[in-house]
Amino acid sequence: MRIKFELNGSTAEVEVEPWESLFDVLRGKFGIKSVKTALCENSCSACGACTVLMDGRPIYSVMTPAYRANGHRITTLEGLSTKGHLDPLQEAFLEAGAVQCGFCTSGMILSAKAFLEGGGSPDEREIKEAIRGNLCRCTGYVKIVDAIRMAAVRAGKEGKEEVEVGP
Amino acid sequence: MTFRPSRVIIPRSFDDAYLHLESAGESAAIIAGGTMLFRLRGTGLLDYIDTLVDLSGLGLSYVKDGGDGGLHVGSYTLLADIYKWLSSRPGMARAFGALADAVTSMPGWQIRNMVTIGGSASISMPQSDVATSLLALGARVILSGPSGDRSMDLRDYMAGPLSPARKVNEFVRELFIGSSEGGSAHEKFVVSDIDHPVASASVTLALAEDGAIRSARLALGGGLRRNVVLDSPRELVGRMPEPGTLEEVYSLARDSVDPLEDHVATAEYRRHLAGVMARRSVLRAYARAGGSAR
Repeated sequence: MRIKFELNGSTAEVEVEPWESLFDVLRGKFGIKSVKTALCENSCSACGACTVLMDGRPIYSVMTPAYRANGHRITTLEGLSTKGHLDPLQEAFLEAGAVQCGFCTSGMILSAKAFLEGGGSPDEREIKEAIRGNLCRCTGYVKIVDAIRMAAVRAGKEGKEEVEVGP
Repeated sequence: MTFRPSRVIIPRSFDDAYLHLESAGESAAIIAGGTMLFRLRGTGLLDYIDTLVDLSGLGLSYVKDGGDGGLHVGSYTLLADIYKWLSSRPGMARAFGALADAVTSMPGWQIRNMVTIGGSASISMPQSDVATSLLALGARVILSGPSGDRSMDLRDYMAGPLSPARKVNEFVRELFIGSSEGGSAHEKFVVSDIDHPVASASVTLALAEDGAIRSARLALGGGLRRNVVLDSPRELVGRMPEPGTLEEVYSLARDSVDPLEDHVATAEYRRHLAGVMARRSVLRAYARAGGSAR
């Protein structure tokens, strides 16, 4: 079946099969490399590296039928930067040193993006809950949480002081 | 991977849905959130599916207060939306706390933004936290078919893994959860967030004026061969959640389950955890019902 959707701000049209996942189509037919699979052979839901936003909500693309994208807005990490400028969350991740191997980073940032756009605050517990569907095997999460809190504070979310980033 | 359905049908009316389900017969599968289908697509279990019937165009995504304290939830309602609805209504969140607990026990918003309540019921597996919580809440399934609607107790609908008790031309339109004047809670034990629960328990309690438990329904799930539902167990009704009561609840749950044994946990360990989760869920539900444990 032929589907038409918005991919990172542009109209996308593609033929998909009923058994194809959104992941299959984004990576295989559109060359979107920020979506990844890790712990799964085909369709495990564990790690969050395949996270994309559908109409602003984080979902696992590997478990989403591709045809379900029809008529919706899909955002991947590639869609966050505008006119050559990184998204403030991307800047914060760089500044906080929240990236080590980088495998989880795209999913982490997209989950954080949905959290902040949904009114998320710099509260540590809320941030941890927001990224609970994303695993990181390098950082221990501390700097990831720092980065999201930093972006939240800079975006004027409730929070009184600039975040200090550890060494 | 041999999961190769040849078509997806997205009906625009109930009648259209009945016709397509009828004509595709046993080779059709209703796709709700799709997470279970896509999780299992490499296992060979779904190779028989030729037609996916997607009912997302039928307006089955809603949560309504029935006016009598009961909840009407459309079968395609996302768990994330149910949670948001409940958490903005404190009274409802206490009564239907088991459902809210079950949703938040799922690892991450990605899953909650994909899984539907109807899909959770229809996979018909004790590993589903949401289904276990719905069993404790006494949920009923409203099935729509060419001859009209019929209502069925969820425990009867959940006939076996991936085999709910629906006719080939029927689908779940709604789940109805009756009024609950008390409190409910869901507890589970997992080895890690990415695993199914080793054991889980949900309970609904209503209290008498003196604080004693007036009515109770306990549902056990997780790594079991089937869910267990215990109505008005004498170990709870008329009792306070004192240490002796909780010890009896532990024994009741432990002795009621038929657990799996695998690399994650022995059957005996699952039995023990069924008891522990039952005990914890009782304490939490009792507090939500307004009780004060001694």
